[in-house]
This record gives sequence, C-alpha cells and structure tokens, in this order.
Amino acid sequence: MNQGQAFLNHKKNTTGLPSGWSSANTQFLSKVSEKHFPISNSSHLDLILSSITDSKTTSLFTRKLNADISYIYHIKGNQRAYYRDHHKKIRYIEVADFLKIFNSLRKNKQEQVQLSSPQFKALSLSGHGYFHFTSNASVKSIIFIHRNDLFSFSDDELNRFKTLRFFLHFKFNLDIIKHTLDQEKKIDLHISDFFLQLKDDCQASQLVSLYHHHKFGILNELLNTLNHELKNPLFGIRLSLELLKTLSSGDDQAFLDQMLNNVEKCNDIFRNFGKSFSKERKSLKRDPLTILEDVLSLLKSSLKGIKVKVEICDQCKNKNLKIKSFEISQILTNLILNSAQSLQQTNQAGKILIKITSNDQKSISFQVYDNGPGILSNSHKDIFKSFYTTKSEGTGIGLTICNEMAKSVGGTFYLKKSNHEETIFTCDIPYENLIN
Amino acid sequence: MKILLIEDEKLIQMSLKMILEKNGAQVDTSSDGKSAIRLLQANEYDRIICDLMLQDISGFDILEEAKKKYSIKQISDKFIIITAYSSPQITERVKAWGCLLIPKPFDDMNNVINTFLGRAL
Repeated sequence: MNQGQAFLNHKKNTTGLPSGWSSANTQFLSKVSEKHFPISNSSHLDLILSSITDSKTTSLFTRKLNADISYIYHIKGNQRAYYRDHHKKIRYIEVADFLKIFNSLRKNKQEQVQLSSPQFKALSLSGHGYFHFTSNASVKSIIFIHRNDLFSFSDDELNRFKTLRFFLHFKFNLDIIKHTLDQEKKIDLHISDFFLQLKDDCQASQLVSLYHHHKFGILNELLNTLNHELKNPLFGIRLSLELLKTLSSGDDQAFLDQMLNNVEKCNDIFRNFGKSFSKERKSLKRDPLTILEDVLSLLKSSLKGIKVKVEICDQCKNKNLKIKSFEISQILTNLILNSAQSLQQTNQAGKILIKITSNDQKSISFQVYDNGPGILSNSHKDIFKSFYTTKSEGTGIGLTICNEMAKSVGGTFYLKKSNHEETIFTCDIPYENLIN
Repeated sequence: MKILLIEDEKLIQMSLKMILEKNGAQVDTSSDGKSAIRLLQANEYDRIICDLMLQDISGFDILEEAKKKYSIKQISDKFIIITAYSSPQITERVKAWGCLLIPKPFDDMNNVINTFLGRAL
C-alpha cells in the first residue's frame, strides 16, 4: 500500500462513502491546505479552479446534468472578486456583491437557490443554481452549477451534484497543496511525494467508485423504504386472504392460494433486494441461483421483450453453496443491464444467456452472452476505461465497476468475444475467494 | 376474553378481529392512538394488542398513558406490541416495558393467535 493509500485508508469510513472519500479525511485535508498552504496568488488559484471545472470528470457530470459550471473567488485584500462564467469569460464583481452571495449561502445553508433572487444579481444568471463554497483565512471561493430552467434540480440530480461537489472539494485542496509545492518548494521531498501520490490516488477511478456507491446507496435506500412501507399492507392482504381461504372451498381456494403465493413473492423480493445491495451486509453469502434470480427480478422492466436463458451447472445449483452476494450481484446487474441496453438498440429478437459454471472447485465462471450489435473492434481496448461509453444513455462506468468488483475478490473480468452476432463477457473468480 | 386491538392498517385490523372473535374473544378495535386511549380509559381489557407506528401517536405514548390506570406489572401482562418496523432500539424499549414484541408479518399465525389469547402452547 502506498503512502497516499495509507492516508486515505487510515480512518474508518463513517460517512458511508467509499474508502478514501470520508468527510473526515476531506476536512483534514482542508485544514492542512489552509494552515500550511494559504494561497495568496490569484493566478495560482485561477489555474486550480479552471483545471477543476474544465477537467474531463467535471465535464462529464455537468453534461449529464445538462448544466453549466462557473466559479467566483476573492482573495483577501483584493479590490474585486474574480468571476469566470460558464462561457469561460472572465469578469470582476464588486467585493460587496461577492460577499452578499457568499454570506447568503453561508447563512441560509441553502445549496440550491433561485438565481433570480436579488443577492445573486451580480452573476447575471437566471434559473437555478447549486453551490459549493469554501473559505479559509485568505480565500473565499464558490463553485456552482446552474441551469437556466424553470424547474429546480431533481433529487437524483442533486445527488449527482453532491458526488461531484465532493470531488471538487477534495481536488481543490489537493491542487492548492500541489501548486504551492511546485512554486515554493516549501516542504521536504518526503512530504511532497506523499501529497503527489495522494493526488494520483484521487483520479477518476475514485470518482467512479464514489458515483457507483451513490447509485447503489440510493437504490438500497429506495428498496428499504419500499420494504418498510409495503410490509404492513402486504401483511394485511395476506391475513385477509388466509381468512377468506378458511371460508371458501374448491376452485376458490386454489385462486386464493395463487394470490397468497404472489404476496409471499413480493415479500421475498423486498427482503432479498435489501440483502443483495446493502453495504452493511457486504459479507452476506448466498447461493448463485438466488443471487441471479434477484438480479433478474430487479432488471425485469429493462429485460422486457428480451428472451433470457439461464444455464447453471449442477454444482452451482446447490443451495448450500454460499458465495459472496454483494460483488456478484453488482457484476451480474451491470453485465445484464449492458446487454439489455445494447439489445434495445436493435430491431431483432433479443436474447441473453447467463451461464454460471464451476471449474472443479477451482473457480466459478460467470458469463453473459447477448446477440446485440456487438462492440466495434476499435473500442475493445477502451471499454474498461472509466467514463468511456458508446451508448447515449450510458455512464461509462458499468464495466469499470465489474472490473473493480472482480479484482476485489481476486478474479478476472474480460471481453471474451464481440462481433455482430454475439458478445460474451466473462468473469472468473477463484472458488476459495467466493466462499471465504 | 376482552381484547382491545389498536392497528391502523384496516385489513390487518379486520382480519385479526375476525380471527380472534372466531376463537371466542370479544374484540374492540381502534385505528388511532387517541381513540385507543379513550377506549382504554372507559373499559377493562384482558389483553391490549398495540401496533407501534400509528398515524397520530406511537404505541409507546399509549403505554405511557396506560400507566395512569395500570401498574407496570399489569401493563407488561396485558400489552402485546406488534410492529413492522422492529429494530434493536425498538426491541430494547419494548423490553424495558416488559411487554412481548411480535414483528409483523407473523411467521406462525396459530402460534401468534394463541399468544394473543393467552393460551399455553
């Protein structure tokens, strides 16, 4: 483990964020940046902020949000505040106007605002904005996304922005440190290496992990809420059906039995989803068939009109074979969803085949086949890169997640074949790692 | 046996009332906490089956109110708490009152009905 990694992992994650992104670490970093690296040079700060807002990862997020990004900052003692708008046009605004904005954000603790409000007049923008501000003894800075739209950002969009905001904040402080190191050679080489390594650790793969974590966190929260809210009414239905059953006979009873089965199925779906996607139950182990059935239930609407076939070897059908559920659920979810999305682009009858086979108890292989249009051969080398996507609706992180998940359990993940007839993704995981 | 059933999910309330009445109990029902408290004050019950999450107040508020009429021992004998939202914290709180906690949905209906009726299993 390198020094940066060690630093990132040194505290137990208490925020639910992935390793290396805990708010404790971020706060620590802010303090280090503020105490030892007070930035007083406007050109340094501008370079940092523009590199953050123009970075590939930031652009990806703002594009997804159909929003623009701008920033303003004020260095103590300067006559005016510096404002770079979403067209990258530089403007200066009066300190009083800047402070009006900054104080309003700090006082109200409001992150989403209407830009038509009087305190934001100096920005000359309309619509809605979502702000992130930081301040230390010498600098006050605000980065904000905005969209000229009647409607405010949805909860999903705000969640995406929170992910981005975390990244911006982290990178901002790291970049301040790095620039100071570059410019002033203030501290010894050992610490310099430490921070540079730390910066490297915070590149796109960490953001992928964070985005992914948010995505599944929201899904898990949604399922838990549904589980809680639906448990009671479902129980009421079950009780009434059982009661009606005692009062009926013959065909009516068979009918009621069928209804009872469906109620039980609903209960099972909610119970099991929670188990598969909950990070708290990361260590939970379940048999491969049950894991796959839950994933297919979750993706039912995406798989509409697609013929799905499952082949599982006898050994993997064994209900007593308990394997790591968290990693496998996510690998299968991403692979099957990818196949479903690629099949939706074609007019032909879509087919997906999922094979789970055990190789003499040495490894278990998960393979997903589809008869979609395939991946162009010149893209094969890029598909595992974060944020690379060939789909209009894709995030470009599905295969990265599969890769990361497979690696986390010592497995390998690769594209076995892809042409216009068939695409096969394979994930091989050592048997021991799956059951232990 | 006279039972007060406090449950806001109408289907559960109606079904449990019918099952308990079939088993010979006399059942009063209430869908909210305030009317349950009025019934508690006005009548004597052998058993009070109380859902924890009600629209207006919680089952714990009803237990507090019951202290005005019953001793802690009587409360722990009479009250059975049912809930779809059990958690270690809720379990602890119910345990502190000495009451029995039965999570919903009931796994074994016969067993639960016998418990409600105070029958030996």
